[in-house]
Amino acid sequence: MSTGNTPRDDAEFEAFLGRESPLAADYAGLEKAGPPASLDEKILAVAKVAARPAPKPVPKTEAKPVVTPIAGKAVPTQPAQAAGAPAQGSGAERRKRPRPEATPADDHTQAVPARRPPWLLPAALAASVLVAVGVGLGVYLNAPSDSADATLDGSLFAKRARERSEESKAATAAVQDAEVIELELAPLPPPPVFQPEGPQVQDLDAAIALIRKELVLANQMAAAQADQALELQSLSRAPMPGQQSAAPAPTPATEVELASPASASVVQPRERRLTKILELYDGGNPDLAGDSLEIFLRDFEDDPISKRIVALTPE
Amino acid sequence: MLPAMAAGNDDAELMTRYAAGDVAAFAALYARHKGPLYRYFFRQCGNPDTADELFQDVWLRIIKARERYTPTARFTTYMYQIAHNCLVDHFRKAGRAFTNGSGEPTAAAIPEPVAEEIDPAFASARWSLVDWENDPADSAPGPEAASSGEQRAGRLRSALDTLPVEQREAFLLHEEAEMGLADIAEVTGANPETVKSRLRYAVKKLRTALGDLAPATARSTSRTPGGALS
Repeated sequence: MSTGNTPRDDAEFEAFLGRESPLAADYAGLEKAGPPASLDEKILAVAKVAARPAPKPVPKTEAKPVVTPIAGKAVPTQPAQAAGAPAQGSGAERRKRPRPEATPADDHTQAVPARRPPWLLPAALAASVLVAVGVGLGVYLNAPSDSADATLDGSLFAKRARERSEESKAATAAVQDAEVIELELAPLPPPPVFQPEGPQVQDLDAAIALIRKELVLANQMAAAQADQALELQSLSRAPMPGQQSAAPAPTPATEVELASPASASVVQPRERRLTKILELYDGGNPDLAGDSLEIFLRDFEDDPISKRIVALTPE
Repeated sequence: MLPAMAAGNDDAELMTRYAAGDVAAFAALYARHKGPLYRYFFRQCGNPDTADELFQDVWLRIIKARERYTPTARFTTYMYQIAHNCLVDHFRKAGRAFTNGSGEPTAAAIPEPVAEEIDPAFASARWSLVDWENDPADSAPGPEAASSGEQRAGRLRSALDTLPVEQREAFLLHEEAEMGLADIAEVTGANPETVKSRLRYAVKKLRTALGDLAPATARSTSRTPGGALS
């Protein structure tokens, strides 16, 4: 082989390869080092933990969930042999499966989480949409007439829709009944009691007659007072001969009294308001005249005319 | 000699059983290979702590990869391939070159045993620090090593430490794992002729180190049926 090797070397090497060399015996006589016991325990413990059998997932071919389309939610049913079923398939298949940690005892008691088929979600969504459409149609068609509902007779969706519609109606009616009962049982507030604020004119015509009479008298008195004032004024402006210088000068008070004869003829607010009432009554507005008279009675409660008008009303 | 094929099939069966959850199979597998594998690391590194670490790393990788194991190759080859990779990574992290391309020893490739790295208690039980520090050719038997066998053992350990990493690995795989040239080549990723050359160099150097001391009369130890040294 290599240069520099003697036949003896070749013989020894061949003996070494054949495990007949004294060198191999010498090496075998060396100390036999080995791992410490703690390392042995550690590695064996790790191996034991890692070797715990995992729950076997159910093969896809065995898990055939059944979807009920009429229900609001699709619930896949698992095969009865899923839990606790022994693992099937070759060793390579088992090695490819995930191995969650679990104790051997749990392997027979824990439920096996099955993997949902990929078509389950779309099927459930489609079923939900169909149910929603059916309910909507049922509610819509039930409302106007029964003829439209008749077109869906025999349909499972329509039947379900009718049932739900009836249930919703019954629930609504129950709620309304409860509200009505609550309203009936609630105590009604007492009716408001009207209290007249002032004297009531029971006989407007009689009151108007009294007012008219009062105004006539007042006008006559005012006219008489005005005549007397004019006479006094004329007498004072035409002095008698010889008495002009002796005539005393009018006092300021007399001036005021002379200057105020018109005050007797001036229409007072009392007479003005009574006149206004008469004008309203005569103008065809007895309501307004009555209201004005009521106000007058409150404002001139102590006036003789007010007392006479009030006296016309029954007590 | 161990019937390699029978042992290989047995190991593969044990590993397959362990992959299926049989812990006892792993225990048997571990008991069969723990000694040779540990010595493979210990002779290469010379440091029990490093040997422990690498040894544990290999078994943890085997445990982790149990489900991917396919019995297409011998379990021993599979395991020592992992061990070889761990060792290469270790030398790479330590800044040592595992090979210089030609298989010849390099200063960086030779893992020099450091006395400070050795646990004295461990060294007294498994290793001789005196033999490390002495050159095999100059080592003289001490008073305590009176017998020729002890002298040869001490010289052999020292000579083994001075071998290049690849030659020592080939020698250890041949002796500890009881591999042939083809298996060693598969584990190390080298050509079988290269492996043969490395082994030839290693044997020649070890023979030279032993000198004219009387060889051992016979292999003093017996091997277990599974292949592990007792």
